[in-house]
Amino acid sequence: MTVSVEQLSERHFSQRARIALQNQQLRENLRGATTWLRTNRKAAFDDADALAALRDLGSGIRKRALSQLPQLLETLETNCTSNGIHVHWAEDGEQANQLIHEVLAARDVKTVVKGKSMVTEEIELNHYLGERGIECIESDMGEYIIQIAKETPSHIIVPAVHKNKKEIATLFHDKIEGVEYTEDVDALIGTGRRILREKYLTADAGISGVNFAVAETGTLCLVENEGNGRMCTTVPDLHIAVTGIEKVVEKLSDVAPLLSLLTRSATGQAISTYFNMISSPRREGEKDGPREVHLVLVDNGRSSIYRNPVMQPTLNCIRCGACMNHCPVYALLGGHAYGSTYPGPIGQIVTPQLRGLEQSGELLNACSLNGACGEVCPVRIPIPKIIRALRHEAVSKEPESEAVGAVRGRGSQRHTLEALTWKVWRLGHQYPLLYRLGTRLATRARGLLPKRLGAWTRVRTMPRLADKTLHELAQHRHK
Amino acid sequence: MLEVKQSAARDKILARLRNHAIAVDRAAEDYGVMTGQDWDHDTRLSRFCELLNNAHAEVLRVPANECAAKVAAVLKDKNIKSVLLSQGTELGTELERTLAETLDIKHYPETVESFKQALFTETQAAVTQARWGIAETGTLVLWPDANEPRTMSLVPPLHIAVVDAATIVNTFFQLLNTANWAEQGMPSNALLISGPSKTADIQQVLAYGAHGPCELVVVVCE
Repeated sequence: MTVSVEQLSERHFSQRARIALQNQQLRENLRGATTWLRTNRKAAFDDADALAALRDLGSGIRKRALSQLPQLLETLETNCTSNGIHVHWAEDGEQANQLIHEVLAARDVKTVVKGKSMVTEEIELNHYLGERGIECIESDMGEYIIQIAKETPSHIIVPAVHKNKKEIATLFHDKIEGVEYTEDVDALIGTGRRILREKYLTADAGISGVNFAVAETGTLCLVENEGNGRMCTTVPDLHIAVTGIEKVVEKLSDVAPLLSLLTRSATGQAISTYFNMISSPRREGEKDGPREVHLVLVDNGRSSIYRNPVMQPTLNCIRCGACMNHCPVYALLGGHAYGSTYPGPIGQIVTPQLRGLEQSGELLNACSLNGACGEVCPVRIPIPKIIRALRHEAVSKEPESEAVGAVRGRGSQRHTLEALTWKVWRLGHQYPLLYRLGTRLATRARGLLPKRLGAWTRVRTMPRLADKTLHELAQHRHK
Repeated sequence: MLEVKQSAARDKILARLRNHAIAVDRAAEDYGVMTGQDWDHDTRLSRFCELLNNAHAEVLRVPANECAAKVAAVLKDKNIKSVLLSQGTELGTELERTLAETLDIKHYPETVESFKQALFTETQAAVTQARWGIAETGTLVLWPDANEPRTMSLVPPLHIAVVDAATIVNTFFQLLNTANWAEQGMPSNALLISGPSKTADIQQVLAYGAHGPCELVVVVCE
């Protein structure tokens, strides 16, 4: 019986990867999509100097915000509150879900339309609400597609990137009543439009994420192309915005550089079709807009990342997806293989910090340290450096630390055989005599090398050692 | 009960964050890359129009006194029988005068609640003013208010936006600073619109009219 990728937790990353690699259609879909995304980004950033300057500015703005994080959160709360937005705080996903449910239940909400929000995926909000009789309908086309398919998103910007149009056409035909089979993209989008518009009209509440939360003015900013975000935050009478605590920025003017970096890094667009800036519910005399607006600030492990100076830059992230678009591992596997809300390079550093190294440490091996992610990150998160630091933590012999900001699960990925191998390697290179003996022995005894070496030779041929070491050859040359 | 839990969570979160700030050098922030742009009026205007065109919006330039007539012509060309207009605005009043004979004019009632069904199912088009334009990205800036509700530029399949050429600025960054958005006080909802609704979620193939307007027509009054 074949196990589906979804059935394995991220602890079994290597198994998930193997399954993904065998899926030729998936590989083809991913290749097309990631190539398109990389090409578009490159075209949008045609001036290398301007890009460097903008990245400096963007990372400076994010760092400045993080350097005042508690104060800015308080300012955000004060300004949102005086604008009429109710602000809530949740230490973890469970608290956030409870809070959101209470707000919805107080108004007897039965159906919710949702804009795309990675943090709500992280806390599994839809599932929580579903168990309590509240239906959440995803309105972003990509999210709607995977909701019908009963899957999780495989990319943070283009959630259905792992599917091609044939697969989506089949999905719509099979799962939506009255829909003929068609691969015509306009027709498929038209179906989504028709169905979702009915939902916007009748939904009791809208839930969204937040791209930037501006402390200075108490403003929630949303980036989108489709208009579903505006629908969810404008049409129903109740709007709940959910955000991680790290998304706050200090000033309104900070938003312009970050917006420019975000849209071009994500899809190569100078700007998204809509940039929606919400500062209050419907005001006196206004005719539309929700009359009740809530903001939920979610910690869920972010404060731990914050307290670790090496890891803190992780929180610069503006969720552009550029890192995963440029990651050769992601481009082969797709997001589901990672088994976590955030895939690719950003997922490799966020997930182990949120869930602990024991559960998620294996993800750190899904990396060749080629550094492409760090080179494209618009806010200069040193992703490869953090991956290495986390790898070090994962195999450290030091006892688990109670220190502030310590990553959970220190040493949990340490395996005796691997540790021994590296110890032997280190000793063999540290002492010249051992080195000479070791290399001499290897060349003389090369016939005794096994033909197979576990996982290594499953996808490679066994290397063949030379009959003389390079040092020997060099010495003979000089004789 | 909700109140008590809330302040405990808030206090705990803030306590965990305090005293772990990493110092930054504010003075080192270089805004040169944001302030370099200074096109002249004509360049701004043509860039604004070109980018909106590229984004699949229809852009029409007319002398200011022909603005209402142009809107009427667009509605006629597209066979629109009824149109949603703003009330209490110069544009709305002028359009009503121009169109009253030929089209069915709709307005919002006091609140959208009684109008939602008709808005979604019967409204073919809406005409709004744009407060500013942004040349760098081909963007309209709308500040919906009591006279021009948010859903006007969102729900009807055709959105016609009228913008005064003199209000087109270079960049968003410039606009935020020179027009003092932060000090003035933000509207309940500020919108940057840069084309009709679109998506590339299905195999990266671009399709228009995802959830928002299928068509955006921009009338630039010079």
